[in-house]
Amino acid sequence: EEIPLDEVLSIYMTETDTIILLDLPSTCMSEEAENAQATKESNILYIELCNNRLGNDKYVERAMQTFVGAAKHKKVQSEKIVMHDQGKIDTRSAVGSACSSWNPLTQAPSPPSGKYSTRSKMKLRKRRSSLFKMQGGDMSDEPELQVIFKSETFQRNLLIMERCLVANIFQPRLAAYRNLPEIKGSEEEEKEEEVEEEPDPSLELLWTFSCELTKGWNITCMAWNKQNTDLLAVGYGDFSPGRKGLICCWSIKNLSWPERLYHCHSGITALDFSSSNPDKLAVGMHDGTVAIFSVSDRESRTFLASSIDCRRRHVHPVWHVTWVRQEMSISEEDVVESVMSVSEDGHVLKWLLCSMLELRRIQDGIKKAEGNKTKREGILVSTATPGLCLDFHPSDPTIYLAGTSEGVIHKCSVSNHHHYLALYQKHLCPVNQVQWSPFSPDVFLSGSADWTVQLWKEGCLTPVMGFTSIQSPVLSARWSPLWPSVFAAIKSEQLEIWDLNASLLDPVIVEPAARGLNLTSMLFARGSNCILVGDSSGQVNFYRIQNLSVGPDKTVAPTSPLA
Amino acid sequence: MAEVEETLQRIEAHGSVAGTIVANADGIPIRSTFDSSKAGKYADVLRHLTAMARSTVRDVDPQDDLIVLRISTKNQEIMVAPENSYLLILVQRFERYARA
Repeated sequence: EEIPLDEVLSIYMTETDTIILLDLPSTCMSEEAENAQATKESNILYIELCNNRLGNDKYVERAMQTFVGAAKHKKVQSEKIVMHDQGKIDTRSAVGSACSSWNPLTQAPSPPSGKYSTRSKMKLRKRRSSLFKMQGGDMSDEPELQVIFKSETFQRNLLIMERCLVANIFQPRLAAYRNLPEIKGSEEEEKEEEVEEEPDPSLELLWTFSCELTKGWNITCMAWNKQNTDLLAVGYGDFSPGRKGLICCWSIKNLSWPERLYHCHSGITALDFSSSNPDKLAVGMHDGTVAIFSVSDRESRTFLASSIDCRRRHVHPVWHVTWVRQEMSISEEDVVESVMSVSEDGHVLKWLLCSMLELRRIQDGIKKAEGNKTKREGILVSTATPGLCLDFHPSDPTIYLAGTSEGVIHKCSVSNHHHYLALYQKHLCPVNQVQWSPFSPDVFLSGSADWTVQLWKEGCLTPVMGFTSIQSPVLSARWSPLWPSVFAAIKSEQLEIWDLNASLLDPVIVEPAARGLNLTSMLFARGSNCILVGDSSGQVNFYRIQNLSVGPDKTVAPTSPLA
Repeated sequence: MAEVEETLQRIEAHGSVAGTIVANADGIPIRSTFDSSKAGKYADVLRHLTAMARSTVRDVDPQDDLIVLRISTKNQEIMVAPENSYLLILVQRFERYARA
């Protein structure tokens, strides 16, 4: 029954009567007592009696003897009384936790929640489950197992266990990734290190992200989480219409299974994590849908919001999505993040995630007016050129570059919807990637299907330098976040790493693809000298860049935080 | 629920895992890939050790709590996740730091 603990109870304390357990009166008496005279007289009479005893006929001495019976031995046996020692050690912490779980006013401290939310009803559920056990004495084990399985902490513990397991197996690789010293096994003898002179720069394969679910899928894009640098989102999809897409969120802490898996109705073509809400992932798909997923929720299997119902959405594949911070006013709280997407229909659109969880398009982006004007039955139709890539300036969030399928790069501003600021023309084929340099604010790189990578400076309308290697379209070109003169380019047969300090004509490292596979996407790792390569069989390979002549003392902190 | 089962099976299917045990608060294994005597032994022995490890951690700092206890031995590694109502034990045996 419930005892209301807030009620004030009165407790009365009284004294009982004196309880006498033993009363031994004294044999001495005071001379002033009432019976003193009578006692004195009886004392005198007694002394006289004792004196008269000697030689008196009334008193005779006599001895007696008692019978001693025969002794009989008798044996008795009983069961041994089993003694148990029971002791309990109570520590400060056990008392503390018992007190804290008793008090209904303060909740027991919930376990530290990282990316995953735990419900505070967990403690209550556990208490109920242990009560359940006490009531049914001969309960079978199955329901108990179910109860345990359902508890949140079990899932979390499983997660931790799996990570420990994998970390044990892959310890040397993970240590190499994080630039930590490896733990050498005790059986290995100390090898004598031979001094090598200037070994060639090379790539060392550390590990691969792949599992049965992702086998055979073509990787199209990858993105790092802005806050948790161990989380990587990978988008899988085919470019044939009607094929489904897959998004996996992998964590470096568990190399064998992705943390999250989302199935989508259409192939994924672009991914980006938000920096102000690090659990929001913006996704661009092959059918033109822009969707936002929330990766912090374990249970959700689908997106938070998408542009499917929007009237003027993209209908062509979205090739790039980026989160952009837009300052609405001077104060910091009004910084709102919106998604910019560029698609094959030539529009750059800006989307805002409303509180009603729908993606609303708020501004019309630039229509690339530099399209062909075709005459069709006398009607002038201006088609916009398909846009393939987008990159915002690292320090000025209103300027961005857009690469088109005609080989022209537009420099545009967010505030000007109809005109571009500058036009960079050199490429003859679609520009697959543009990226501003994270170290120099006016330098950018562009990779195109015309086999070349061009280096541009902002004020100059022709490229400063061009790089070619084999005759194959450049699928992606990115700057290294650690070294200002290093960039990497990926073609479907090989990965190339260029170091502008070492050579302008040839890449410093060339890593060919495995036989039968095409490399499709590439990303640099953050905080580590590793590079990730995704290919057409669903594998993400992690390579560590070794022995590049730019040593760690030559790294420079980027001038602006990387988007 | 099914996801938990799937995760557990995935862990058990790992080449280097010798076995897993899920035991209740009294140290009786409920679900285990070891045979019952071995599982009972593991559960019984580890129950007290984890309670002591947990109280050690909390005595040092009452705000802290034990997440996982890993015992690396010569032949294997035993990982225990302690909770009030159950115990999750994982035993991994492998060639130390093998390179694939």
